[in-house]
Amino acid sequence: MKLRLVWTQAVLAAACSAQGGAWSYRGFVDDSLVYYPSTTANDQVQFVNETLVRVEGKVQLPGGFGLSAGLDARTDSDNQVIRAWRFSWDDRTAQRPPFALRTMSFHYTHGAFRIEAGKQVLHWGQMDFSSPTDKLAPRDYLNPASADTLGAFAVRAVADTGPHSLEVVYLPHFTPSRIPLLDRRWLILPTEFDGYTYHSQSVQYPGGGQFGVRYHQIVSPYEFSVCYFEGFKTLPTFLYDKDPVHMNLNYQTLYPKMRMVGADFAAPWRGLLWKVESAYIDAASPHVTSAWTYAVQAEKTADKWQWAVEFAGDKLTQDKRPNTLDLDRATRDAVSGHVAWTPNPRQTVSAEWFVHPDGKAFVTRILYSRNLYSTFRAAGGFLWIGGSQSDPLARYNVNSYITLQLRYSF
Amino acid sequence: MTGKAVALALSLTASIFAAQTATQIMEEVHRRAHSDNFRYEGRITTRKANGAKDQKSWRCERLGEAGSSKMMLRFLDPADIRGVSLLVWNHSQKPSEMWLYTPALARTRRIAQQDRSSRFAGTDFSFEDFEESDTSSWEYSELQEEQEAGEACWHIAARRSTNHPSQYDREWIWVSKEKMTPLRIDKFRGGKLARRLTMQSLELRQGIWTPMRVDVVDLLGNSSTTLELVDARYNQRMSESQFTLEAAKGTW
Repeated sequence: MKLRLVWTQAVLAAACSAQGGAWSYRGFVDDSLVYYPSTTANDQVQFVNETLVRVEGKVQLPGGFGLSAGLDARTDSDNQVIRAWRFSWDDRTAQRPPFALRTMSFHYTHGAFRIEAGKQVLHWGQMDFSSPTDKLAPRDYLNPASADTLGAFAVRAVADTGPHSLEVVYLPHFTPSRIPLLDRRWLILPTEFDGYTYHSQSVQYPGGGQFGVRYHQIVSPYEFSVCYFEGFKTLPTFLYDKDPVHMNLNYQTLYPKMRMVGADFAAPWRGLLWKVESAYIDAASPHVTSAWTYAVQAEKTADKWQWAVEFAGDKLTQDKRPNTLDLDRATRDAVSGHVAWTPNPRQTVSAEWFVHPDGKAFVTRILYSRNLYSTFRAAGGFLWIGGSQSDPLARYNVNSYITLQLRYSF
Repeated sequence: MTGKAVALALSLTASIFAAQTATQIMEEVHRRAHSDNFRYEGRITTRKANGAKDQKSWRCERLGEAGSSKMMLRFLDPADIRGVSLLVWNHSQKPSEMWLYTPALARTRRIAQQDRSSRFAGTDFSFEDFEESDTSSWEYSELQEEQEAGEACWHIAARRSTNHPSQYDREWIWVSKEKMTPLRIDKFRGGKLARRLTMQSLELRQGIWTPMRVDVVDLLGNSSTTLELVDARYNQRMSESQFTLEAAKGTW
């Protein structure tokens, strides 16, 4: 609490002293209505309305110092947002907080050197869909079809000379990814757990810091990077114990330690921009399975069209740990892509897809969006999940939906 | 036969002389436009054939000589694209490099050379139109004297001398004889006139003739964009570190 007070005072002091400095802000009010034609075993709600207000501001102070902060305020009709006047600094609750600090960081820039400390959005990797090296950033997967990145407390130092950049990141405080709630439709477990009653035994948030370093080089017309990360999985691993007699499933939620070595590469070839990214996840704890993960992406932009296709896969280098369930393997071995058509600056039609290579399951989203005046944007579309029920992904077909969205940007 | 040879020799001499002169004129244009850096805020209005109008604004900073310059362009408005940044590194005799940073995604996307014919952010500028190259990357010819916008001009034809992939086959440039600055550039694609840039409201700023308004007409797409320069300044305080991928992320 003391630290938060000091932090708040420092932010206010910086904001007050910024009267002569350059400042800017941006934000939006977003309201989306989702209709699910089907109910599920654990969720009978078919209409869900969500409202999000996001405000971000930046202040440039004299001497290369600066401050940035972002706040989220939200509510919904589905109790996935906490029903209380509560402000969350670390965004670690199972439900979304009604008011949350998304980012708040100080930065100092001197020539090619920049250091940023505080809550910030981190991103590594080149891919549009699944970046094997992007292990730092937690995400909000309450609705996995529209996952948003969460801010994480970190100190980030970068030396960027242009062709060469070196980035060192230290995260002193762990922020987990938010996963679907037990009593909501986006939690669908493998069939082996059907009929069981779940009992959470414990949730263990890891202590200690996380560390990452990334070197990036541009050698025209190519660019590549290599990186190393030692920290914790932001998606949980569940250790479970089944009691088939009483149909009870006791589970512990862990965020195991992992080490990752990765690289990415981008180059134009035969009229397309190709990106390759790979990472080796080392079992730094007994609850992580070592694996190679890789992704290859081709993309093209041609006047009003833009498309990208990615293949992502992984190869376990050791046997999967018994009685564990890893959520982060759900998207592996998949072909995903998107295509967008923008006939004019005001309208866009986009399609996204995600297919398991054997064709047993697919996810498709089609969205039409249109600017209304200069500040409003309306969108409408649908998400369709289908395939054979033998594929765990196809079991989400009951979550296909139709959506309408209105956003006011300021 | 002798007469034909003499005529051919004279014709060759004339065309070589014309080519040299056209190149010299373009070198003089570049010399007079020289500055260490340049900064302006731009108001962009795009008009479609159906009358639809779209307005944006950006801040543009450029560092270094044409051919090896670096440019950072940041959108200021409208709100939904505020902070979107385009970083361009130009290289002499090599294709330039471009990245687009989108703050909503916290992502920097490389723009491949072959994708630069695409429209930039819904305007009539293509990504390629933001590339700058020096005179060594072009072959100039077809020097003629013509009137353009009421001024006596050199009409010069230009083709790339390098084998960079480009959407344009050639360009025609009208250079004001008095101001030694381009007043109009026609860009051809597949032999057809694709884009016309008209430089207007020329002001002498810090010794450099600067068009305070640029009209871009997409003659194949039937739309037009007007760029109005506000607060255009040369030789400001800038450094290389303002033109990196990290810098593109840092400000909006």
